[in-house]
Amino acid sequence: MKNLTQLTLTLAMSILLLSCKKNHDEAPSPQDQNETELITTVSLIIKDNGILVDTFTFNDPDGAGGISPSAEHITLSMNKNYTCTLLLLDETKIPTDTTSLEIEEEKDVHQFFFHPSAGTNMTFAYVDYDDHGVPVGLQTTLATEAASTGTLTVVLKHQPGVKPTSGNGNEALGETDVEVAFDVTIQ
Amino acid sequence: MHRFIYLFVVCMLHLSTVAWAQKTAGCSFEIDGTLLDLSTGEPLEGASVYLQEQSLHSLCDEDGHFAFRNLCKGSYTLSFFHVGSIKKDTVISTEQRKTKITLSVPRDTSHLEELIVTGNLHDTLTPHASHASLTGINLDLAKSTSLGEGLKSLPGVYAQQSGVNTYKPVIQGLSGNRILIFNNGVRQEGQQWGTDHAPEIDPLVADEIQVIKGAESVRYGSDALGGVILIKPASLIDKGLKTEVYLSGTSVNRGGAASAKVDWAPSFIRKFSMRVQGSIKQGGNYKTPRYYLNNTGIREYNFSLAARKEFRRLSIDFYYSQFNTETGIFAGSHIGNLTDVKRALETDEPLTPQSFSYDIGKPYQHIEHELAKGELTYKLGRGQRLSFEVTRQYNYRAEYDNHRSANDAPGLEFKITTHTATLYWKHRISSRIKGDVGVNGLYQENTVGGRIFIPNFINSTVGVYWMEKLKLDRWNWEAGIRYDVRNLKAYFNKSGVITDSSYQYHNYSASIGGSYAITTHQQWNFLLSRAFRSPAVNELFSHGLHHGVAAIENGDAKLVPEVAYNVSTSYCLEQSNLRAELNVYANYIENYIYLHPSQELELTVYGAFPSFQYSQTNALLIGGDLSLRYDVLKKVQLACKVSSLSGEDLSNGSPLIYMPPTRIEPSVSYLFKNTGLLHEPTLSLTSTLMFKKQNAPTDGDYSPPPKGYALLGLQASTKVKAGQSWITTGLKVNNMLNTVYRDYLDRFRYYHDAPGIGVQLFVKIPLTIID
Repeated sequence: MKNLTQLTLTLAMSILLLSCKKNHDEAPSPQDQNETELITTVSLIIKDNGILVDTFTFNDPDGAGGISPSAEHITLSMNKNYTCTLLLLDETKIPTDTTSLEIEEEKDVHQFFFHPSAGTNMTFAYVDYDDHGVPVGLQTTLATEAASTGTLTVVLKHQPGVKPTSGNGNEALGETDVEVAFDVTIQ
Repeated sequence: MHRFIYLFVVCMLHLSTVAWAQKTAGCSFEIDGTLLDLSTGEPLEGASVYLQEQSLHSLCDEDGHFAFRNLCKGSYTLSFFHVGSIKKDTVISTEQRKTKITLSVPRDTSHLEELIVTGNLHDTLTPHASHASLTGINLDLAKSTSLGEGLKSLPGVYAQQSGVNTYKPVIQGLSGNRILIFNNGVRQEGQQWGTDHAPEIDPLVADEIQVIKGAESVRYGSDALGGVILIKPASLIDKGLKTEVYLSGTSVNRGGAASAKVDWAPSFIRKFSMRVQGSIKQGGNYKTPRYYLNNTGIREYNFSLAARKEFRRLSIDFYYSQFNTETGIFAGSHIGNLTDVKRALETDEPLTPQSFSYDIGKPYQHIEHELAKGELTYKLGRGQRLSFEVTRQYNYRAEYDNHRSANDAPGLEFKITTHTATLYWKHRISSRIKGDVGVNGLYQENTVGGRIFIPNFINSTVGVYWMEKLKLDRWNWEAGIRYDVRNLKAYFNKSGVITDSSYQYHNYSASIGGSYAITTHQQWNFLLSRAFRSPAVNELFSHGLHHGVAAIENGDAKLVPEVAYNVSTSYCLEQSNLRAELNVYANYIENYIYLHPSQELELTVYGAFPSFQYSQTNALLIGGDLSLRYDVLKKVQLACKVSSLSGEDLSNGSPLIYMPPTRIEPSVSYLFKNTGLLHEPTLSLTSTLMFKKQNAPTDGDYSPPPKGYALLGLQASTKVKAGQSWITTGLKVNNMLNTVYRDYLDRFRYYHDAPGIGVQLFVKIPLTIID
């Protein structure tokens, strides 16, 4: 009988030891904080008839918190028809990660939205579309009118499973991956 | 005035009878008894036995023994009182010089809700540290939901929510790291710092859930500023083979739970018992009165094994359990930034289309918790034992969100392994004094993956404690002291450069409490205590964006421990048809750690976020809990619970954020007659009146406190005889009027309404295969 007891106990013990879940990571060797995906840079590349006019960049090299981000002042000429290309980077990676390329690949779940403040005479129009014909916004045309000043807010929405499959998209859905504001002068 | 004189006379008469009883203590007859729980056969430790004719009290020790000495020959009436037991009178004659009796008392399940979390000794009935407990029907009903939600039915206990699936208990205004949860005697170690991290415990293992305060809490840890919650499984059986099946369903999320346990004490192994238990739970999207909540499904599977082998003086205990869950998080709540929060606040209904589904998509949490425990106990003698316990816990938490990510890796990942060892000596110095001395150590390693919100760390703690209980005629005293030393080392990696920083905290906690029996039916308790809690890792080092709450949180490595001074007093009256308990408390917390909102928004690529800094202040929490029960005509029972509290930031002269609003819960129950088939059939109409939180700070909250609400509920329960056993079944209708409301302590009140009408049903079937 004693043997049976011992057997049961040994069996129970071994079940316990075998089923134990283990952590193979060690606290003294932490993961690099910069290994996670980050968007540090949002650039608006402005061209006029295929010729580069200027690049305006929002930059937050260390991510949320820490050093405050900087945004360049956008200065454009009035009554022009520009094209605008967005470039998103993660500069904490070596080599630099081009996030906008990944967005292009996953265009069915992403969309950019452009919000000039009231009285800022600039208008964006989408020229790129996802597989369902809904705008993406990596490429746009940018028309300026009379001289004015204001701000421009660029928003990127991540909308897995909820991005509309028809129409012009819906900014209210999904999560915000980017929301950056630039000061604008049209002269 | 008349009433007062009457009371005074009664008291005087009472005192004189006691005096008389002592004078005539010349006879030498004795009654020796043992009091057991009718259903489990467990000794009812702490039950009070009252010998009516002589006005004598005796308290049952841990083996359920009580004794009356120096009696004269005659017939006596004994009354028994125990928390959760029906008062029972038994007439006994002392024919022989020594009369031995063993009595079994049924545990009453319908009254258990009525206890109050008091500072100390509960009432004449219990010489324990005060505890409110959840057992029986109420526990069975709570099991079909989550642990935190079930605990809400106890007075003084509330819950902080992050949506419909994540509940964290709040005791007298304190929560999170200020509350200790013990699962089967083991301190739960997960990621309790997060407001959206629910305790990783399966309520289906519990046979009783207790909330305790007082001297006894020094045994558990220094940081029990709010209290200790004990999850207690049923004791293992001595003989036979028994099973129990529990099934439940909830309509509000079309969910169900099933649990089964098998208890076996094989006759061919001496003094060996074991248990295997497992449970599964699944639920879909919750329904509020107006819409479904997308992605609020839950899947859970848990199991546990327990074994016990006893030798002559030595006993060995093993316990192993696993908790696994996948919990959906309401999709509309995982927002990007302040613009999204504002948009959610401006719209009355969630913007994403809502429908019913069992599917769980991103965002969701995947959590595993594993617990293993071994305990050796050596009996030194009557009431004396030495125990050594080792435990290991592993907690894995992965949080998946909807943010851009190159692969399917979780956005946040935590792995925490905790080892503890405890050695303690339970002793009995005399029949009046008994206590507990022990030492425990903890070693913990945490690693973080994904977005680094808190650093990796190694935490080690050593604590020693000592507590004693003293029984005097009308007094019960308890005192305890504890000293802890904690070492914390955090590790950081910035672009490949690894740095670390070390911290040491040490301090004492102590508590003293007394309980005085004013009469046999009235008792007064008080408690004075001091507790300390060293800052948690998130409070020291959290850095950056907390997506779950859309805020930037910054830790402060210079934080010092919180020290809490608590004073509380309670009065308890128990008569045949009236039971009342009032508890008032004040909790002064020096260096109270909280998130201080900054005035300016912090700019990131995700947009602007409010930013918070962990800061310290001196805080004062004052509150009271009242519980009343009045039996009208024996069949109709009126009850009411009231809880109210105010929290003040003394340094800044402002109220504290997220303090529970005042709550009143009146109910009326009808107790039907027992029949041959039905036992204790009960029907209750319950209600909850929640007041709007007054004076809530507006800083750090995106919207003002929601308006108050009133909810109506219905509860019915009975035991049904089936062969030799009793099947327990209960039904509960929550939010019967389908009221649209939002709760102040629910972080998701920004995004959606609370669930609407829902029916909960459970059945518990015990089956004895071998007696």
